[in-house]
Amino acid sequence: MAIPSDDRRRLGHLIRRAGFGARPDEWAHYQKLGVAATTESLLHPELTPDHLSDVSDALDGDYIDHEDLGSVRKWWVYRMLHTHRPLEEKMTLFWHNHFATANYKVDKPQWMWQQNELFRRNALGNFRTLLRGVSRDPAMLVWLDGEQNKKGKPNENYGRELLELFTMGIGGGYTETDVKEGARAFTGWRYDRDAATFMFDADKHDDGIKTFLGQTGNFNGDDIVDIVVRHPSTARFICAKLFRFFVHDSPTKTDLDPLIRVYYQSAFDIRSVVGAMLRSPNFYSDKAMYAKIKSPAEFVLTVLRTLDAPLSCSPNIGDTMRAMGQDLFNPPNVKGWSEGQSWINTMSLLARMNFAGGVVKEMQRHGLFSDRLHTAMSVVAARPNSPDAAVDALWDVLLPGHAPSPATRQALVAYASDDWKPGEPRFDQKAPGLINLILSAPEYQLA
Amino acid sequence: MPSRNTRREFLQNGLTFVSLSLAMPHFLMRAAHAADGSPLAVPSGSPIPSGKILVVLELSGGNDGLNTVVPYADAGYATARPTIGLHSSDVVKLSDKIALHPKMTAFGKMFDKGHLAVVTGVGYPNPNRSHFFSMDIWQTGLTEMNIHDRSGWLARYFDSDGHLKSDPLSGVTVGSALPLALFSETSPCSCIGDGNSFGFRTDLGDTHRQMDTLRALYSHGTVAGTNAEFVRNVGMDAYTASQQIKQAFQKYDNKAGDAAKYPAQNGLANTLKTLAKLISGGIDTKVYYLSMGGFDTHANQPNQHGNLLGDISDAVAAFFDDLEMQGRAQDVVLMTFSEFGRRVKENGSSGTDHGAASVLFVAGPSVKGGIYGQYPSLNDLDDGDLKMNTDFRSVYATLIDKWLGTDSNAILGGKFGHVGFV
Repeated sequence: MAIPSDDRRRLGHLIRRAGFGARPDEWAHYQKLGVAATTESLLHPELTPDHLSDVSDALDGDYIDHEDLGSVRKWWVYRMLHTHRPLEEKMTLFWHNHFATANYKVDKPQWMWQQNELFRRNALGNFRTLLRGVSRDPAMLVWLDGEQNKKGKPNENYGRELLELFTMGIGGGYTETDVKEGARAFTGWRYDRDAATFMFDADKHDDGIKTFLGQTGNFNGDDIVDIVVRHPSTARFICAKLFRFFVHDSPTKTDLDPLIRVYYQSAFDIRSVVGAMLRSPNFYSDKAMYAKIKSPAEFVLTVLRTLDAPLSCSPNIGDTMRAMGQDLFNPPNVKGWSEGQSWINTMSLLARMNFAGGVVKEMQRHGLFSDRLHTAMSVVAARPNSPDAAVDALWDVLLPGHAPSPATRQALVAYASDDWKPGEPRFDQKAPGLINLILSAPEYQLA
Repeated sequence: MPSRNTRREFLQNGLTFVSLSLAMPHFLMRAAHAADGSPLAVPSGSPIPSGKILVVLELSGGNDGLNTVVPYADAGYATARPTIGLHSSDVVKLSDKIALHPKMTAFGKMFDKGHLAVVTGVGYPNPNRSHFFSMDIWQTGLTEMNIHDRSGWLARYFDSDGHLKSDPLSGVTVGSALPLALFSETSPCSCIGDGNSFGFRTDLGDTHRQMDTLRALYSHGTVAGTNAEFVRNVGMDAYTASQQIKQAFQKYDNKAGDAAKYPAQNGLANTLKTLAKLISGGIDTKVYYLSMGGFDTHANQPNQHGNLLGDISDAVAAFFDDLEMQGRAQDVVLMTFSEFGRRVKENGSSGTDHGAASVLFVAGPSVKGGIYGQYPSLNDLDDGDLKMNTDFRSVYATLIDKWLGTDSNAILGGKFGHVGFV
């Protein structure tokens, strides 16, 4: 079923940004829905059953060991790969980088998994609710030293990062006094090690009067969250970060102001803000299309999903992503991954190319390639019977709506033309090599 | 800035567009394109690298320092280690107090030539007996975990120098994963596997055609836009780096390699031979990082530990013999380290449990051989462990300041005294 090429271009963009690319059957489904209805469907994951809820017990026959980080990592990649609720997983990834917490300090994979479920539950929920949850999250309490934050001996780590990294941003208008007073409000917020739950220790809590961002009272942590979510710096900071994640790297005041209004009108509802972003013309502007560099998660999952490859085609996916610079559950520091151009260096780029080559090779070896690829191809055209047609068709499956430059197209056609007389049915022999090259090309590294 | 290697290649390859685009990093290519390939466009006056190279060998698992450098004259040693203790008649004596493990005869010879420094009692304050946290301390060079700006001590050395930052082969690890010591967000060190596998790998039966096409896809003029152009440039750098390694392997003098008599069935020897090829082949790498496991000897320690130490001693000696014949031995210093030593008293399974202070080696003809630091007393222990008296950051500071020639202050977050081995 063919749809207008501009819709195809928009749909591809939407599914890359608000998800991780689409499997052939998903493409067919989204094409039927069209761009507008697909957008609404992505924004409402709760209307699609979570067919992966039992993944927490087993995956590919292996039981998940929550004490083992490799196992937890694989569980999450599996979810991102097979989910029918892609925006929910995409937002979980966003929050993981926003509230960047690493197992190299927490040293409890199970608590990292629990935190990940917190992000998923609140993926498109209310920002205040999420902040309250994060402030009570055992992994976060270890990560930013909540355990050490006691009455009379406040530890400012969480209080500071809450303002600097999680809400208002550097230069957001808070003072050192606000950091100190905020930290006092969170004293006594600890965790129960055995139950892996939040625990409030009244003896360690400072219930004196605090003055925070101009307001005075006997504040606790929830009060601080309530004050801070309302602050204009928070509204701007969160909207700008979401914009950079979904749309492009350099939002202007004009881009952000409507989103900030939505943030307030919806009482801090993330779904409303993201929805406004995905529906705006900005989202499909030339500034946005194929302008961002794919994160390793986006690259790996888009490859696997578009080719409809099983996870077994890349058994050490966690380590592979680490080599690409995104070690899930171990962001480099509390600021999270820097994203953008920092994703790409000689080593990480080679890791991307060699991952693509490995997947293509494995699919070929297991005979998965022809069936699944032809399902993907059938979305575009019949099986092409010339080098030119093969290049055009495969390119459009992998990079919909993003025409190659003449030089790029020429190089690929030259590769395909070797030993292929036009009219001969040689597509099946040429496709794996062509796909490997397109996935390795500079263009494919862009989202 | 161009590396010495790149400059040399530039001169050898001539000035055609093709050799420029294949052999030169993008920052040079841009300059060259700006002037239509004129050689005058290449920036001049860049510093020629000093050529000094540091090889770091991580002994993972916690090496038993007491059975590596043995205080054989101390009566407490035999008492603490009735089963696994080494006999004074077997050990390789370095002084009237301490000796090397009997399997380390090659290190004994290096010591006699003045090519081996033994640093005793090395550690850090408030020892942590978790492999993970202790390794973190050694690799970051910081005793407190810094979650705001986490990076390895060697990566910070690269970050402190713009020249190094721009060359992906400045820091190289031979293996499958980049160690934390070489990690930072801005310092792109390379993880080259066994060297041969570094680069674009394709196994679809038409490697050369794939390679040629890929090079075309990354050539000038294929893409537009800031990020696309950025990716294209990095891809060309990656290609250049992999070609440099291939060329280095080709240049290697196999006769010298054979004469060095690398021991057979010794994994470290194979790896060090790869390094010798890269070094003598002119790769401008400043730091090589290697890791070797098996040191977590909780049970049946004697055979396993002896074999590991014998492998290190034999392999490192052959490596320097090889480099000597290649004319590069003076440029290379090798340092070993482990995340901690082991308890003084052996356990009930002919093994040892996690401890604290330990020993490390610094090897090479440029090293001032000898024994450094105080061997910790076996009578004055900290909860059953040796007390450190040489801070590991002093060893790092010495290597950074005196060998690599950069200021260690900023890298280590403070001033640490030097140990006199270079």
